[in-house]
Amino acid sequence: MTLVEVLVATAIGTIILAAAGSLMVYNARSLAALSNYADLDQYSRRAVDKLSQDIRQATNVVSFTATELRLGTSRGRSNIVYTYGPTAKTLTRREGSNTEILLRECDALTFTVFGRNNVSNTWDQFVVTNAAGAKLIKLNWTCSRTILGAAVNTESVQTAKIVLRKQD
Amino acid sequence: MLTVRCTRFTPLPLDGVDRNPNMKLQPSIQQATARGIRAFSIVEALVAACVVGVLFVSLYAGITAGFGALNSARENLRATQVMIDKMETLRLYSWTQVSNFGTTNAYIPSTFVESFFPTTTNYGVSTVSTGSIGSGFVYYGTVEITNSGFSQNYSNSVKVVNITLRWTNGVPRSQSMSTYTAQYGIQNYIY
Repeated sequence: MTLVEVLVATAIGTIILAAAGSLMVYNARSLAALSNYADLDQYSRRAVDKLSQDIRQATNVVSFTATELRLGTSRGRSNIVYTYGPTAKTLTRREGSNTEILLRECDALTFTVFGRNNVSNTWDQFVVTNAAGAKLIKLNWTCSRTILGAAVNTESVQTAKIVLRKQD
Repeated sequence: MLTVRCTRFTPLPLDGVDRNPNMKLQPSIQQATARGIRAFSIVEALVAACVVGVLFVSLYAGITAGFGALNSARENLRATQVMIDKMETLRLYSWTQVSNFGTTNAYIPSTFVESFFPTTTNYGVSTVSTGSIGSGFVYYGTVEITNSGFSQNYSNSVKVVNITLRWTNGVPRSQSMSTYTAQYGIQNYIY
């Protein structure tokens, strides 16, 4: 082989290797993104199921802020407290001495509490500031996962409005 | 007549190489220089390139289809969330408000709009937070509340609520959800 042939072969080989490498990286990122989506969706669904169950069964809202919700329960059970930690980015459920982390890497979470009255010609309700007037709770959160340190296309958005079922 | 010719037996030298000139074995190096084995033909190279090209295109098409299905699932999931939100708030409307739908005294609106990313107020430090607030495509919702269509004597106390969402994010899509609501059902339990 001549020197020119070696150089040409080396150049072609380098291009092919670069293409194969970039394809491999792209495939790995895609696989990670798909896995992250499945993981996020699983945790979000489980969390909203748990919250829905607790809110619907609650006797009342004991207290609330945008990041904490304290629900009264019946039959001598302890109050159920949901707390979002912006620093830890977790949503925690506490019932008595039992603590459970429902969401991790949660970028934002808001509890909004509404009363029973609807606003005319909208689908909104009136926001209440006192826990005694609470009838509907709106959940809203966004979680994400990172791929190689960057959060690319790995968001999970969850919203829900849940009405307390207790008659009063 | 069979003629048998014997030759003198000559043992191999110590290096194992037979240097007998009568041997007709060809050294392998001469075969490698034959014209057909020296390199791949242009046809072979083109076929190989085509096969590799088809494989790469199929791979990318598969990944793209996977992301498309994933996006579609996310859009449908968010649409379901929006419709369940509306259905849940139906519990808070009185029977009069439900019955007056579509009249001049309507209390429940027949249309609504929601975005893919809902507004959240307490975003933490995140690389994705700023891009999400208030952005995303828009869901356009329509509401229909009609008579139940039942033939029983309580038919006037039951309504059918149908919520339809339409959105376009590259591809036009729609989803709908319906439920019954009764005068002496969930409304009576709250009011």
